[in-house]
Amino acid sequence: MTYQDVIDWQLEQLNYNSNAQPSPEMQDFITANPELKQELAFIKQFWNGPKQEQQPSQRLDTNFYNMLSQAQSVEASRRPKPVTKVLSLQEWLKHWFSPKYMTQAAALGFMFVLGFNFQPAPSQAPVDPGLQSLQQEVSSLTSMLAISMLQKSSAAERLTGVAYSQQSDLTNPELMDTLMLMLGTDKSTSVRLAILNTLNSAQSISAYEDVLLPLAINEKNALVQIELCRLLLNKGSNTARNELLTQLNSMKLDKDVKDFINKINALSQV
Amino acid sequence: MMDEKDIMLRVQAGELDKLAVLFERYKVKLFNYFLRMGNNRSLSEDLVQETFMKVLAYRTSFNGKSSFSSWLYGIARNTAADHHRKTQHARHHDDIDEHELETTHTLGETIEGSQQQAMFEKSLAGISAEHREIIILSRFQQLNYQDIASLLDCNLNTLKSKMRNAISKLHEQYNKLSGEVNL
Repeated sequence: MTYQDVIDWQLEQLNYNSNAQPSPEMQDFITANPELKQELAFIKQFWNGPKQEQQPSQRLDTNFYNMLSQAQSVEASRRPKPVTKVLSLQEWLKHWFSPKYMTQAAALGFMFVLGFNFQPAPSQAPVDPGLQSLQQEVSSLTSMLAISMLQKSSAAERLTGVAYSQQSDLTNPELMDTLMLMLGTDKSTSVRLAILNTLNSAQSISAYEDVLLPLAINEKNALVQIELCRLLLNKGSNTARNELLTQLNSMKLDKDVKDFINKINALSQV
Repeated sequence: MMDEKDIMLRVQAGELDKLAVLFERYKVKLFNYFLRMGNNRSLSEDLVQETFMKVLAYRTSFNGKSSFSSWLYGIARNTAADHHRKTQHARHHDDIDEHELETTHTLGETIEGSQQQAMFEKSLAGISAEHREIIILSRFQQLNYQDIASLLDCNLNTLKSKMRNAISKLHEQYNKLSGEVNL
């Protein structure tokens, strides 16, 4: 038996909250070594003393619950919306064979026949499925790289992540969720503005309007707020645009910010 | 009380509100972990927040094989290491200087009539970050040996040896400070 064995045993007992007593052999060894006895007494005193803990401030709770609520909004917007009404077969037939739809179908058929007969010879070779799958693979890798960079602690690296996001087709839901989460929580204004710039090149933002709208309304940073409004006014649905304008008009906004948003709105109408 | 692993698996399945349960259970512990590792209050709060952001972002990587606490502390350690690497404040992870001793040792100062406890805290801050962390994880965060070994990526025997060395350094530091106080 050595000093080390006894100390290891004592530390392990304390770690596992065990009250086991040393074996008689160990006890004799401890008694015969006053220095070891002193070391063990120190360990016990340190371990069994009061464990004073400090409380974090309210800021931590506020920040966490804001972040969680953002994440929940993103998650909710990802879930498929429930179908509001399921038509019976009879209703479906009645609906689609109404004179209005029959006329539209006939017009469409006529246009199709015209187009089929007068189409020019195909100028491009059909897309190679191998090439298509390679493009998809590259896009998926770019998205993964972007997500990884977006989670770095340095703002410069996160900006690189945003740049990579722009190179992907912005259809990866995980990437879009990360961008949305950061848009609401990132400490760097530059990163948030870069995300907004990237979202401008997304094909559609309709799935994320529920997240973007409250962000635009509650944003404290004027620059970010203007860009959020620009994004919604340029790419949002009519409902989202109207909702945004109603909310903004009822808010006490800085006059310059309000003017600027109104100008963006006027331009988006053109 | 619901098992932490189950709660985390539910978070993973999309029940994000369950993350609040884990946050409430760990926020004070994590905050004190970062404080004891030598960070100030404001930074410690930021690090707790960032840790939970990463828990959310990496939720799919939790496989349930390890305990939730060991997975969480793994993220917390990486978060702090990333932060200190980026801000070039390597000293936070080495020896804490006098100014920081004062800051971190408000812990000890708050304990009225427990000079010895304050001395323990001060001694803890005076040893290397590596030794300090092992003691903090075991004594204050109450992680068991298996969890700490998996967190530090070492086997149990190595951990025991590291723990013994850490305690020995703590005792040395304690004796040194006691000598200074008695002078």
